[in-house]
Amino acid sequence: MEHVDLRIAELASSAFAASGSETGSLPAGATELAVTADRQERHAAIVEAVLAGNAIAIPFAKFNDGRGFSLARLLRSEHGFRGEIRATGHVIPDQALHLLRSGFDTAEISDADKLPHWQQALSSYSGNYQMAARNPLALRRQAALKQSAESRAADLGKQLAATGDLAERIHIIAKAVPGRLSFSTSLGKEDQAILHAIHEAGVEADIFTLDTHKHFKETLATLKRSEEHYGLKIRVITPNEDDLRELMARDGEDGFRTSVAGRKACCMIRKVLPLNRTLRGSAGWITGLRREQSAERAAVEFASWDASLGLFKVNPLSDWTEEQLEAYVSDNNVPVNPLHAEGYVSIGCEPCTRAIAPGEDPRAGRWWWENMDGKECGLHIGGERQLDKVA
Amino acid sequence: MYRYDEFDRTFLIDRNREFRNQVERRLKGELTEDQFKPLRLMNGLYLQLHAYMLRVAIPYGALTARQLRQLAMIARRWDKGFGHWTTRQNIQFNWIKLVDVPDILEALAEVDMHAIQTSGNCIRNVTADPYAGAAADEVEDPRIWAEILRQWSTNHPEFTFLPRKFKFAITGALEDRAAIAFHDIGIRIVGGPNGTVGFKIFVGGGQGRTPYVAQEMKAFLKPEELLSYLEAMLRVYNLHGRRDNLYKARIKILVNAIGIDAYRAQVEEEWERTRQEDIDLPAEEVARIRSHFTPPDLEARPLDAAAFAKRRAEDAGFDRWVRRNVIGHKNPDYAIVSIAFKEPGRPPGDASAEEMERVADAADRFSRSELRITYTQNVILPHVARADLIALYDELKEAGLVAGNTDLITDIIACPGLDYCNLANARSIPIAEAITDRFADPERAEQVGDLRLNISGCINACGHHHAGHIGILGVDKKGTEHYQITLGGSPDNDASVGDILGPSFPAEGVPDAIDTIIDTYLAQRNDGETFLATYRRIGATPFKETLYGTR
Repeated sequence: MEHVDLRIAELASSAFAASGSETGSLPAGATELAVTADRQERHAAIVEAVLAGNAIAIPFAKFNDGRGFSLARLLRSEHGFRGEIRATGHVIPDQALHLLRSGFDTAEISDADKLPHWQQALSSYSGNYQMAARNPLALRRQAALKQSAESRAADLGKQLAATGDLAERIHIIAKAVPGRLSFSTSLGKEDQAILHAIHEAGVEADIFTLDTHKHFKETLATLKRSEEHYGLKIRVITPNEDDLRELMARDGEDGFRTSVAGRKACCMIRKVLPLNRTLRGSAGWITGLRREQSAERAAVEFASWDASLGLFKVNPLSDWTEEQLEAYVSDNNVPVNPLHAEGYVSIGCEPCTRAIAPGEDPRAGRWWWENMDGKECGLHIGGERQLDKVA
Repeated sequence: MYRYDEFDRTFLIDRNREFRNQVERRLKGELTEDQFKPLRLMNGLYLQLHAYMLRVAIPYGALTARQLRQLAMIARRWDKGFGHWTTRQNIQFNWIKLVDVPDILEALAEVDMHAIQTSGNCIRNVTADPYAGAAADEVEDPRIWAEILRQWSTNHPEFTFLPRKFKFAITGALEDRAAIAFHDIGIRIVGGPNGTVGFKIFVGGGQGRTPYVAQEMKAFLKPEELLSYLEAMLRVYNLHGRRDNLYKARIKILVNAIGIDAYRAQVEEEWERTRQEDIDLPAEEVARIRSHFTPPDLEARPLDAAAFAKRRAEDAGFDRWVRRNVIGHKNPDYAIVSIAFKEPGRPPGDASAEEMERVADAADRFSRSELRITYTQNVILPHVARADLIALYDELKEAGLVAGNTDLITDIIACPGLDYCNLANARSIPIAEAITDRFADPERAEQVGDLRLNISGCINACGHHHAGHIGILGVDKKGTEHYQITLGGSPDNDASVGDILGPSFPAEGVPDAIDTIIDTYLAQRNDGETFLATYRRIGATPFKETLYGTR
């Protein structure tokens, strides 16, 4: 069975992959989702997919049975699923863009001779009128935005690099971002510094934190103290209850300890899906990522266009050193999580975070029982979905 | 009028290139008819009894004179010199060759027109009040929102393969002239708190085999919420509408099977879950589209009342035309003028290329080059100075387009019927002609008064027979064309589905039956009472008695 990677449409039109089979077949054990799936069944499929290979297949019995389009759209925008979605069964080349824009990544095709038609169909339109899973901007706004998204991100990065003043940087971000500005805070030291700067700059932003139900009590106390200190509201986003029930039923209370996949499923349900849901509709997302934090983060830019979320991801601390951060926090009397003083650097959920010794990698205290490669919960995924640009 | 910009033009070029390629694949045999069918339907191309039929979208019925001239050119060059106004404010050409279609679409694109989604199981051309922007009873111009809906629904990635076709109608006026109650989704622009304007949403109306009047879905929706709410409505339908039975696949069946409350609950839950995540319609995009519909700057044009009265007194035809076809405008110096395409010898809604050109000239001279098509298959000039009415009448008279019968018994809506359509059971056009002949005396027609008579050649109800005060439905009775009569339907604010009167009539019996119904009405009516009001007061029995005898 051949496959066509629909996301090739996102590359320059001349840069089509020569063969649709390059992306290989579905990862073993991809979850098949019936077109009649209700909300609980969709949740269950996502949980299963996260454990099995992060891929979901949606079958089309007939090409004009359009339920699969709505299902993919819901997986993306309601459930925040960011793994692979593949169309299987009876789909035709003329549907390539509909599939892509509804949230599919790939389509399984029975006839390899049709590949040129698929590739042609993917490049048949240069603009689209309406929002969709892959262009979450209303009507035609994305058309103007998309062409310049990367260059606008680069411009924003240059502007941010030109000043070291954090409140000034926040100002620049608020001015450059064309719509709702979101700030997700973990209440760690970086994010507290940003919170301070947002307050100082007087910028309006949707400030929220992801309560995984597994936080340290010190973290929750820091939340409360920050709200009082700055007189602002930090929205608390919690995981979907159905998802948690599914996870518990499948993996038990300690599933995150028994395998990397189990840990990632836990992160997915407690953090990633709620984050993606909360960010939908935002035009900009401020994070506290710093290049110094880990090898994975060494290339973090000031600003980039996150096409799958349809927003500018902005990292105003990306160039700061630990010393700069320390100085800012103490100079400005910023409230910080008391755990930092006890050797906790990167603070996540209580069962998955420990203190580290001086000189250890700053992320060494996270999921310490796993090996060192790729210690990310999935909030800040990069490489594997780089094809995933806007439609 | 909405004018295309670079984005719209590029989109249309892309679309036409895509369809040209699909036609080429079909002509080369690379696509089977089964594979080609949904693709051609999405571009308005039907295969009828004698030829392909191309249905061209006239979004919300609004046209410019330049666009109408191009339609005339297409009629002449690629059809037999005719076009046909449809019952959904579009135009169709009935004698088209497949090989010509890509060129026709290119000719349309030259004047910012297309045939996208005029058929197929997708969101169809949005219909609207033909008096939009001119009506005195208007809350807001519905064309702004109809254009937004047009853009939103064009090639929608999620809603292009729905269980069945999906039709929107929108009105911004107090009086419903868009038959919103007979659409899958009907939208009424209403005033909200503190001088705001929003939408009342209706769902599940429709005609066809199982007619329903739409039910109220949402009492008030803010403008920025419109698209996210409609997406939730469409998504629930797309996932749960029946796909196993063509006749049960419309949203009206879903809504009536599970009940409006259950449907609403599902939609509201879906909306609550996704609307926070979706961007609301941005105000600047609404403003951009709204700027295309700023009212024309109509200078004061006082009427020479004495000369006008004199002409009315001397010319009975002009007088009737003024009474029936000249409608109040929000500016008292101006009028909305209806040009009837209904008179003896003309299939309802047929327009020759020459007539189209004459009407385009009249629009240029007298109506800011603007025109509208009505779902009753006539043409509207929306902004005519009253001081120009005499000159306009004289010009239209030369073109043979001054039938003064708007909303009279001879202003018949009729589908093309078995003369063209492969779905029909019976012919519609000869029945319309016979009734028009029977009531050809304009004085008699006017004496009967306001009356909507609609004819469909089959149960698909393209001729809106369910919504006619008198409805006529063609049926196949043992291989012969018969006609069933319904009474009491209405497409207006007081929408209702007509009641079947009794056994059907053969074609030759229909004019007499209509005559009997009219005589019964005239005998029973109170002073100033319309046909519909009389029917609602006295019910079907007196009509049954005169038509079928007492039993």
